Amino acid sequence: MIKFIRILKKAIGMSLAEEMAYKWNFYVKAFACAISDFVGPLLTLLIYTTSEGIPGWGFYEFLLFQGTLTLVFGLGHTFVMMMPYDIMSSVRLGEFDKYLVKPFNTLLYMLATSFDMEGLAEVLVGIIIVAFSMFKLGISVLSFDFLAFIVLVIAGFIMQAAAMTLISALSFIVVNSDALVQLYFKISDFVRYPLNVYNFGIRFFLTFMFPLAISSFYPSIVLIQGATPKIMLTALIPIAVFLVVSVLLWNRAMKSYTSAGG
Amino acid sequence: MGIKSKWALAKIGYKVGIKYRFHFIVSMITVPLSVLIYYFLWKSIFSYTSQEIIRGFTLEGMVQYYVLSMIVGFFVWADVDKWLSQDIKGGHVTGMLLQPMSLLCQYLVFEIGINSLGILIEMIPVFLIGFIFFGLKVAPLFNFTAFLVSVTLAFFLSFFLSWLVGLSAFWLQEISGLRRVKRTLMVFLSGGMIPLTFFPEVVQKIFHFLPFEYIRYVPIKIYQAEYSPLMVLAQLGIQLAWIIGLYFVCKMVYSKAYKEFVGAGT
Repeated sequence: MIKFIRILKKAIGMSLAEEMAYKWNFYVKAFACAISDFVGPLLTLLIYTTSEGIPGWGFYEFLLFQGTLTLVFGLGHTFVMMMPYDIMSSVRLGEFDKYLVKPFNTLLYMLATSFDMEGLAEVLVGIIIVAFSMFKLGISVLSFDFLAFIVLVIAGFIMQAAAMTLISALSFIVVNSDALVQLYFKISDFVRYPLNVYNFGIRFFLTFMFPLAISSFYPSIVLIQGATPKIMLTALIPIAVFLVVSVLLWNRAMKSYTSAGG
Repeated sequence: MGIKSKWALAKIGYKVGIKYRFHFIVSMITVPLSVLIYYFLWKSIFSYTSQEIIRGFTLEGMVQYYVLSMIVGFFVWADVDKWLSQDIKGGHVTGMLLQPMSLLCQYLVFEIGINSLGILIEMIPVFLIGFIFFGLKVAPLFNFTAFLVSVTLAFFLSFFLSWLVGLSAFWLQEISGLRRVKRTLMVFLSGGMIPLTFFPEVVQKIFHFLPFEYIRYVPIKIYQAEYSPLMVLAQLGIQLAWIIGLYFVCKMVYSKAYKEFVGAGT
């Protein structure tokens, strides 16, 4: 764990140095991230000013939902989203072998080094939106529900890490992670709106099979309606299962990996 | 520089497109998923609002709008800013400048080559999916023809805007951030996320004076037969005027950018 944090710190330093090569672009990139994250709330405003909105969700409640989504995906973007890209490009170049001989777990090493600075802008925007809507809804930070919210946000981040692990493992088989990542983002588009919008099949899929609903629906529902053991377990158990399956698949992929290029 | 060399360059673009055929196949799966999301979202909003028509759209009209929006998206997809900034950073632009064809023309022909494949592979299945699953109506022949003309013009509009963003790489080198702003704004302001009628009246009026709605919203409206024939021609005229205007802006910016160019990286 200490080693992991040390590698992560180095990776952050390197990422910062890389970004500073094109300083101007870095500022625009951070700004761009923030802009695209404010498009969501703007869309909400347009929907809520022209209609009654989404059933069961008031304007600020849905804003809280969107802020949570931005926060969780921002965390994913910052720490794990680059992993499939990094792995695939190093496999193609025949450089992946060198990670296998490092005196450290390959998966953890890849996770630690896939840091992406611009995701931090998203995290910041997410926190601002969540804080603003919590203020408007009069939800206190000093409550048990908020603690449950934090737990579920962290679980959401773990889900992101597990999903990236799964994509990386699968991309060893299909040797094309772009398509998988694209598919992943499309599935994640579904959780941009609350689960109660969808039919039972999609709700089931997003809660139990590919439990991405943890990135937005469950944390915000806990904050709005209060945390019950039932909701917490429904949200958390699929994540744990998903994580285990992803890591097992990764290990399998590592075992069957035969070097390419080189 | 005759037609022949341009044709050859377009073919190269087409072949680059083939390299991405896997990407096209995946997007054939993902595009219906996007429409499905919007279908469920608007279905719930419509039933909750208990109104037949919201801002000029019925639920069916709304779903059709998103199907058409995806189709227009294939046409107007322009990544020239990416190619240009890569070529500037990698120093390939020096070689391209030596060609007896303007830089703009080289990229334009190349981009047309890429897009034609995307249109061939993606458009027809998405139209079919739209007809079968999402109740897309077959447009009258006049509107359909006008739609095809309009999306072609929209492609040039989108290309020139991307080209302008790409030219900034002559000064800035790395423009991935700027490209992201461009992508988001182009989709949002052209009505790719929500029809433009959902914006306040004042904003809609301002949009008439910006090029964005002519990239997506106007072609869709033409398909949905919401304009009179005369109005259709007027819209096509405005599109054309924008293209000519942007072309001259591009020329001006390019001559400035060319002076800035130092040919590093070769």
